[in-house]
Amino acid sequence: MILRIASKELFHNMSTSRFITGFLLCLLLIPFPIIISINEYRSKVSMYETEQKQVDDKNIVKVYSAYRPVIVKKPGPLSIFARGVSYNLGNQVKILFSDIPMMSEGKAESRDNPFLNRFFTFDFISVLIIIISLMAFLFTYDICTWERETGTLKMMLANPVSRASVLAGKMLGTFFTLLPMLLFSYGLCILVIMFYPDIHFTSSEWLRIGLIFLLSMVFLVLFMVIGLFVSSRVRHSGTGIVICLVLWITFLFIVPNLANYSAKSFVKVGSVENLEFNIKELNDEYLKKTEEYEKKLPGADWDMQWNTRWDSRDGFNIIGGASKSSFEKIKLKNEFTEPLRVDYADKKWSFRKAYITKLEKQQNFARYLSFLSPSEIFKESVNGLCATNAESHYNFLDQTRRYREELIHYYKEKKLFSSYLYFTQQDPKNFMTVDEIVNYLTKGELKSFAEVEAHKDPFYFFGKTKNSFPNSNIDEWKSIDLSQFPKFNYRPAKVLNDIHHSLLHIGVLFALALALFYFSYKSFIRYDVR
Amino acid sequence: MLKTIILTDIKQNIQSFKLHVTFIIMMVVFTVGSIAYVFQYRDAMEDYRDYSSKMLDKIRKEADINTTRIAIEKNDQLFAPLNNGFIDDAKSQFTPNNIQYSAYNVFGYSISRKTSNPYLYLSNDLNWVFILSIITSFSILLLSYDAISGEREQQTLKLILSNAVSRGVLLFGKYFSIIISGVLMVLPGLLVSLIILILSGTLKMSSLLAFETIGFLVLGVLFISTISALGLLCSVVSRTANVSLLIGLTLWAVFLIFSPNLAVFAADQLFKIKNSETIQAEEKTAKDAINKAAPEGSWSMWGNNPFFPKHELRAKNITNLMNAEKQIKDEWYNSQFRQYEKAIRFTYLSPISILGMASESLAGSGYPRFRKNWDDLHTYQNQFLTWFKAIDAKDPKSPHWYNPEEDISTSREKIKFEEIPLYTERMMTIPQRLTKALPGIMLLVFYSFLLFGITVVMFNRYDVR
Repeated sequence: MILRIASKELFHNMSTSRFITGFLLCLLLIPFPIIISINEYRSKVSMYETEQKQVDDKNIVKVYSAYRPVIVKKPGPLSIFARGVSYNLGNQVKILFSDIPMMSEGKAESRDNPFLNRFFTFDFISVLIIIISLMAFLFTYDICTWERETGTLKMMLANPVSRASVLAGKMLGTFFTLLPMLLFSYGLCILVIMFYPDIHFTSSEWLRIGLIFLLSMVFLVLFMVIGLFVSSRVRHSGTGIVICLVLWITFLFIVPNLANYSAKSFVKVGSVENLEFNIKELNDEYLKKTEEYEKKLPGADWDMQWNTRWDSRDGFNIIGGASKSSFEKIKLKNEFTEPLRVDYADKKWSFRKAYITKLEKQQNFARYLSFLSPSEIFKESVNGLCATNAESHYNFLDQTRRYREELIHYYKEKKLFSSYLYFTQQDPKNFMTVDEIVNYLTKGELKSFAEVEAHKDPFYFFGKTKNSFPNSNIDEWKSIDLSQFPKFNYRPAKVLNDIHHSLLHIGVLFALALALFYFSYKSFIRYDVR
Repeated sequence: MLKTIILTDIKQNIQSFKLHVTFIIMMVVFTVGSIAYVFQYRDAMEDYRDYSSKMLDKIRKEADINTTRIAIEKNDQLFAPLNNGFIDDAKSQFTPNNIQYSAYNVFGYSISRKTSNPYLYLSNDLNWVFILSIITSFSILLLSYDAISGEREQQTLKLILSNAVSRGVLLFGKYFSIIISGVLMVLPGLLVSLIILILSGTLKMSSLLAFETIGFLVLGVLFISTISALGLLCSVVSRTANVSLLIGLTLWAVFLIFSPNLAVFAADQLFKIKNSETIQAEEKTAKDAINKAAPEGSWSMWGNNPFFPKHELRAKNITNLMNAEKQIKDEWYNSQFRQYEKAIRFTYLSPISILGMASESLAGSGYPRFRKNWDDLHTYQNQFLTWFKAIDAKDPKSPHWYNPEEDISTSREKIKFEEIPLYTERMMTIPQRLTKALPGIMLLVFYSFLLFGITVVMFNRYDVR
């Protein structure tokens, strides 16, 4: 009997204009967001490739102080389905000794024109939520009232059929009306993606897509049950549609924005700029300490250096040539400053950590408040499955932090900070004193540094140099072997792990659907069919 | 007769269940949104004050070192939070809100994260534009979709028309009553919102505030009338209310979702611009060429003597590098401006987007604000450089070799902080805002007339049985 009612319902639904409208909406609304998401994804991939190439170029390392690996996170194609927060975050992490990675860097926006961010585009899953929930409501808001209003309900119930099977049959029929729409949406999505042969999914990604589809069915059922519940509580279809549509706009448009906006307002984070000012103070303190230490060291006879390259940020310093005492001084300095740099990174981390804890707090507040809306619960679990939610990014950052520890440990263990190779490839055996240098460079014309200093013209020495400093051309130096250094391997969370996370959400959705169905059944039993 | 129709319809609307529900929601969102805004604005202002005072301290410290430092230091002009963000904040956290400059150059712009949390999903602020464009438009649709088809279904339409009333008058009466009901639905929320903002001290009564509020009201009424006309049109194209509703909802979703997507799609496909990787590569090529052509010794440093001849070579080389980068970047920036301006046109298909764009102009925020700052900063930078060169010219200890990055070969005298010309943002004036908002306003008027006109034509052929 249930099946008969279901098939009757199905045929009835299919002949209505809402059925066609549903498909029309899918056709109209789904392709554009997908094409945009695909463009964003491809631009991220091309960015990833350029960045990766730059990173590979940079990894030609001549001295140890130059080795600060940059980690680039590969964008996942599932971001086409659900963009999550991947849109806001850069995909680069530079491993520095002076800082523990707080957030990924790099160009966050996948749009080359930042002004286009003015237009909030929807991703596939958001559009799907809008269409499917609307359709679920439009097919269920009058599920009890319509037959009563047309007077067919009492006729149907005059047959030997229980109210429970009428309800179950109607729901089943409606479900099978909406299922093709869901299939159509996914089919359309996959079809558009197939036009881009450069986009591939791995088997694990296909599994995830399958799971998302299953989840979408649960979501569809939930919204159908909500519609059914509303319908079972009202006497007129007109009231039913108003309540359903108001619920729809509340769940989909008001709750998520309300949640984020209140989180932004009531959970204070503070600005990055101010955090950076605090960090700058620590940096200044560190610089002061290193300068003080440098003053205490025995002075070099000449501070002149040939072919230097340096960067104030993280101790990068290459020196092509200098006097013996100068080299020795730098080595002594590094022994002190580099471990201190790592210590200061820990000090800065306390500020950074406090900042990101606040960010997480704010994000959690927004998330749990948004869970007032079932569609947000659904979205969150889809983002989880697509690995585009915040947790997945935290996981990535945690791994980079652990890798940094590993690398620093390696430097300390191998005593690289106190090696000459930390800043030069000059052989300590060939180091020259200052007089030897002057003699060598002027081919004996000037014998000692005293002669250079004694001369009236401060630039006289420059006119007299005939040799270049021996072996000081950095470009000709060989790159050092890094094969023994710890390497970074990103281990994304396993599907099972993500399912585990999403399971709670799915459970909540399911329980909600069951509870509402039970209540609808209860009210339908008492429903006055006249 | 018209008066009777209008009054009965307004009364009917006001007593209807749908109006009550949507009214409550709107009031809640207006209230929560305004309270949240008060907190957010306070925090943002506090942060901004903190930030600017630290910024000024930095400049003071530089001034204590020497004048050249003031000129070469790259400063960030971070946009201050606007006190009219409750009307529309124009997604200012996601679009360029920071311009970097020195006396030598306006380098470029970036999106400062400010207080925005990257781990939060993209969302709209609960400001007036959001409420109007989503909740109000939706409520109006609910009010109007069954205005004609609903009456036909209840068999009351033919009764009304059996009176001595023309179809045009009836339709106009309905149209007008929906607009009035819509305005009545929004006004209390707006008032509550204003009261909260004024009582909390966030807003001060001023002529500018009056202009912004009244401007928004006018825009709001135009928007409501456009959506009402749309709802009525949906109501006359179908014989049953259900179908009217379906058409209305479809159009609404299309306006909301389709139009921004279309704009980005069009920008991506039709008005392509170079991507940042290409620009980086171009810059590198240009810079490499300059460095290669640079005379030998251009990068030499020797002691602290400003008159070391190589300093002049280096100053020239660095200036060349800066100019080459500027040329490539400025061209790219201009292409971004053009692309955005073209993409906007696609959103003009949707009244919801028009409301957003026009209120952005009225509030003097968003892209118009950025462009004004961008232009103003260029003027300022020229004046700043002239000022610096004048000071440098008076210094006999300076060789006057202008170097945009180093404080070696120009004046190294200290300067009083008070003498430094600082950049302050000048807000858009009322006429400027009106000019920018005018196309949007005109379009809304046009759409209202067009949609209502079509509705009248359709209704004249409508079978009322």
